[in-house]
Amino acid sequence: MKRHSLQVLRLLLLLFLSAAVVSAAGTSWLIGQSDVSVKCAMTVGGSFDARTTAVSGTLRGNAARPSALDGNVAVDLRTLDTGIALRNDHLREKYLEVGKGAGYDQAVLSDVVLQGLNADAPAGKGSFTGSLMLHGVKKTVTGPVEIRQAGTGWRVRASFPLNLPDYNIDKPRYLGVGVKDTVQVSVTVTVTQS
Amino acid sequence: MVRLHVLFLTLAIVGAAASAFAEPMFLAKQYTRCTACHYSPSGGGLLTPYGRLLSLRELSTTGGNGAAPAAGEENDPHGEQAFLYGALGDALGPVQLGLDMRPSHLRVGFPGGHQGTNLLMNFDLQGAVQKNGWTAYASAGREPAAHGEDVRFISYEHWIAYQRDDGFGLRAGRFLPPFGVRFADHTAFTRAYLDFDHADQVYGVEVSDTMGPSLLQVTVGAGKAEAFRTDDGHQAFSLTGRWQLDLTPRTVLVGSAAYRHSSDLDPTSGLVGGAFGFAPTSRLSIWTEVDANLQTHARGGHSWVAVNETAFEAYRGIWLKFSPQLKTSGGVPGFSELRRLLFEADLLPRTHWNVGVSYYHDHNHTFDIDTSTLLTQLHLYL
Repeated sequence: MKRHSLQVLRLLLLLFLSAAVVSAAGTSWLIGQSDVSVKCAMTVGGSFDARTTAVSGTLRGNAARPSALDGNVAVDLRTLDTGIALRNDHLREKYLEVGKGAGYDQAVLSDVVLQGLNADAPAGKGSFTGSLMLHGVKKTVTGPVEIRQAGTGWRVRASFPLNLPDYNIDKPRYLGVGVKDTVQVSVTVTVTQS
Repeated sequence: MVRLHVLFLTLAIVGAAASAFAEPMFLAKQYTRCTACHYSPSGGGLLTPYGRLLSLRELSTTGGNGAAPAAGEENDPHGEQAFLYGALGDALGPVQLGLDMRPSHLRVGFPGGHQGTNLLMNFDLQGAVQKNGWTAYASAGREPAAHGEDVRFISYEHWIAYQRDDGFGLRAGRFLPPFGVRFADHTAFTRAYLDFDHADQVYGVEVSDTMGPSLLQVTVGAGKAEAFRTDDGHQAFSLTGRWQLDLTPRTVLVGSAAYRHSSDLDPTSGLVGGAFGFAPTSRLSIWTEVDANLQTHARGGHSWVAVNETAFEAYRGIWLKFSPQLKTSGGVPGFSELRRLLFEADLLPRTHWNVGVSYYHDHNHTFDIDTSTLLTQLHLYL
């Protein structure tokens, strides 16, 4: 009887711990206030930023891989703003071809895996890898990430280089002025538990 | 003393501004380098096709819907932004031309009176050909008869340059050596008092290199071009260096230094200084430049020159500027400490014609003399 009771207790404890892990791993994080900046170095020297705050999505902990995050983060490319109307038109319509619709009007980051960060207490600096769907092409991106507590949520800052030809994006050129092949993407998002 | 001061001020402003607008205020639009819109690496002068189109579509008050070549296409020489409104079409081939004219009215007020004059400040034809990284550039025009002399022909700039894709560049000929910030107003204290005025180009060679967000420009000059032309005894070797770091697309740090060897008439001198530009929004830019002028006692001693220029786009194509400026005396008797307040409105209604109204209040602190100058310019850039 005593042995049976111990087995039940162990089973309950195991179930409780499993539930606790699943609960932590299954936590959903909702993307809140965001800022995406794409730094474009120009062929004539100097650079400009293309920015947007139109970021949405949800990330969830992965039960099987504590360092992985399910879900995705989507950036509405139709709202990218360079501060120059003509440049905006070219960026959106000619190079990103947002008019083609799904796969083109958003950049979607998924399959995010954090490295060097503790999933239970993620504050700190580390790195990440993820899959970026852009211009109808999906490629792996990687870069540094910094996570800080912000109120009840977290502020996440990540950046990564992006090579335009990898995504079949034409070389941006206009009247002798162009953008170099590699641009630098910086993302700052605030996430709160949903 | 008052007359001398007024005379100097009048001559300084009447002296032709050799270039088209070279506008540091466009830092607010995320343009940190002159070469996005101008052929010259030191700014000013003929606009590139990109610069012309930008002036039409993005800077002028009423040109926002002007026709523009599609992305990825070549220049359209028929467009409104082109030379003479595109009247010549393809006839010029790869040659780019611009005609720079500035009919102006100048009114200088001083204790006991005022003096007014109408003048044609600029009348210059500028041309450039660019191919495979090579650029040939020249200007030809007239210099106003500001010194009681006859109007004469002058070519402020003529040079050949080569620019590699990796950012390395060479230039040789007559040009203004890059130093500090090239404010559009050539009478800005950091230009006029440091010998970077409208006719202070050198004959020399410039080597430049872009390394990530940095730009380094070094110029070795055989001497001022005008000194060679007039053989006035001021020819002297000069070395100028300028380093620019783009901290962000709207934040720029500049460091500069210059060495000028002694000539038959001038002692050795040097300059060192820094500038910082910041554009907190797309309508506001703030530039500040401070330079030390390391002169001998005979030339007035070590002095400081400082210029701030704050520019605000009140409405599309309407820029308001405020610019306090200072030049210290160097502590040598007879050399003045000068203070200036400049208020300016630049109206850019269309791509080919702009109106500038500038009010200068100058105070000679050493001799306690105040002068006020109103300069109205119609800038036609065809």
